[in-house]
Amino acid sequence: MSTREESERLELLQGTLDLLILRTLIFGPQHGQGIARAIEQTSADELLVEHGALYPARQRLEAREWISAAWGVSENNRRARFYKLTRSGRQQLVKETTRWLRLATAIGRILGPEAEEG
Amino acid sequence: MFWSKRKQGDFSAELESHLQIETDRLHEQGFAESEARAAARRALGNRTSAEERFYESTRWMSWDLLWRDIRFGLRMLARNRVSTAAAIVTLALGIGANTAVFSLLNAVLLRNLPVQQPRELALFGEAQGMGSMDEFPKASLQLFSYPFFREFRQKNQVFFDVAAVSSILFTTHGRVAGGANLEKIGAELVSGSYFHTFGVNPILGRTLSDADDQHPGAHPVAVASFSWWQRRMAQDPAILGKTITIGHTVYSIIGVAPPEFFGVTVGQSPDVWIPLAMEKEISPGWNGLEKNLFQSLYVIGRRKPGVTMEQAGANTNLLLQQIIHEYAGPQPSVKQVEDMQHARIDLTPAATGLTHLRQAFSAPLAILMGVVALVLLIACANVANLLLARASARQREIAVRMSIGARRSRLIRQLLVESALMGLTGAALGVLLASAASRLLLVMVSTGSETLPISVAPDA
Repeated sequence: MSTREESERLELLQGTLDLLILRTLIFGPQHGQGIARAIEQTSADELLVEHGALYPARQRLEAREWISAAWGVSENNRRARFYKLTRSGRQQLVKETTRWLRLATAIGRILGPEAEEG
Repeated sequence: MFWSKRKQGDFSAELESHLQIETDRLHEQGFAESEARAAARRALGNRTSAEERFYESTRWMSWDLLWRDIRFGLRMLARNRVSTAAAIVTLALGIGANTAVFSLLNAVLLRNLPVQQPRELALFGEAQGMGSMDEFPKASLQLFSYPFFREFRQKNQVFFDVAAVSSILFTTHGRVAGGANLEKIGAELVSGSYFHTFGVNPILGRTLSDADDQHPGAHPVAVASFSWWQRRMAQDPAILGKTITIGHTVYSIIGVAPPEFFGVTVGQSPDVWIPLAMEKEISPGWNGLEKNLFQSLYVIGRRKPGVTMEQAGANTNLLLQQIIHEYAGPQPSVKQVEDMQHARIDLTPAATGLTHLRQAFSAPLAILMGVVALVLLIACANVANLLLARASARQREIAVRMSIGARRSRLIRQLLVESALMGLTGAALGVLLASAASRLLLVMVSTGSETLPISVAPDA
């Protein structure tokens, strides 16, 4: 749970959730709740992530073998399923990140500095 | 992913662990235990729908639903025992009767002989008439003499090989393997080319060859049929060399024909095949091996590949005229000249073999088939009625299911599955019934004390 009001937070753009999950896992294996927390925290609580929505996304990634999973024990001694980036997941992350940055830059250019002022 | 190795329980455990960890975190931040738990749940969103989505992603949903439909259908059928039983029995009777009659029809009228390339076979004439006749040929020929067969076989260019079979099955009595008792034996006299023409290979020993059919009285050999070998010899592999004594002649058994081969006449199954050269020894009254006009044989030829029925017919008739002109001699009488102008051989396709049953039963069988087809139609109408009655009784159930959200397609599917279950059960019972019924039919059409040797088992 975050301290901000939910209505102020940004909804994720379609297709970005997979990228965020992959990115979160670059620092090492993480369990479901950890991934959700990490996305919220690193975005400074700007992004709204419905925790339940992470599960289908992770299943999708698992099916494509970009991440792998195994049961382990969390820092406060709870059993949890830990996810890990695979080699092809890492490649996918690089590819997707490049693509996203290009897209963001391009959209930023079009919107221009005027938009920032307004 | 149709088949995930991950179990539903594993997924639920993960969700639970997620909730736990989130609750712990919120608890640490100072929320009360119950509040923390509720907040964690809110953050997770709809747990049931997540679990359902997982369930659906792990299997081929249509199969899962089908399996549920089948189980539900079985329960529904079991609940209405009486109408279900009525429908199934009606269907079973209809299907059983049809299958039984068709099995017989198939065996008598339609099924090909169990020989190689049955379509290449051509019967000389239509196998009308049995026994022997000695009239000079003057119309469409049905029976042929041994000398005619020999000469024709030697001179023709359109047939791969030609076989002759005695038009009657000789039922004689003989001693088997030197035994004391006279046993009934059905012997079919055939030419040495018989097995070669049909492409039938023995399962034991050898079959008759040309060398077994050369000189009258000089070839006391016999090929046993599979059914006789099974019945009389208990499939003893040491049958080769055993003897059958018929009259004063001792025949040694040289081979066994394959199980499916019953000869070429449907409804007649000889115990042994003996060379035509032994005609006089089998039946002393029949002594026509050297008589040009002792016509007692059916002749069947196998066309060479690429030779059409018309070409074969033309060549056959040309040869026929040549041969009967020889028979008439250099100075034929006026009557003989006229007869010869009318003498001809009509080739008929013999893929389904010869049978006297065909002439006798084709019309009755066709009528019977029509009748049972009608019976099936009536059975179907009855079942439709039953289902209709049941559907109106189930209106309430269907209304309830629709109101709690069942899609129209699911309901239709459910009803279809129920009907299919009923139909399949009826069909299975019907086929069982058919095998008993076709045997009964066979007994009914068999005139003598013995059942006609026809295989009415459904085809593979």
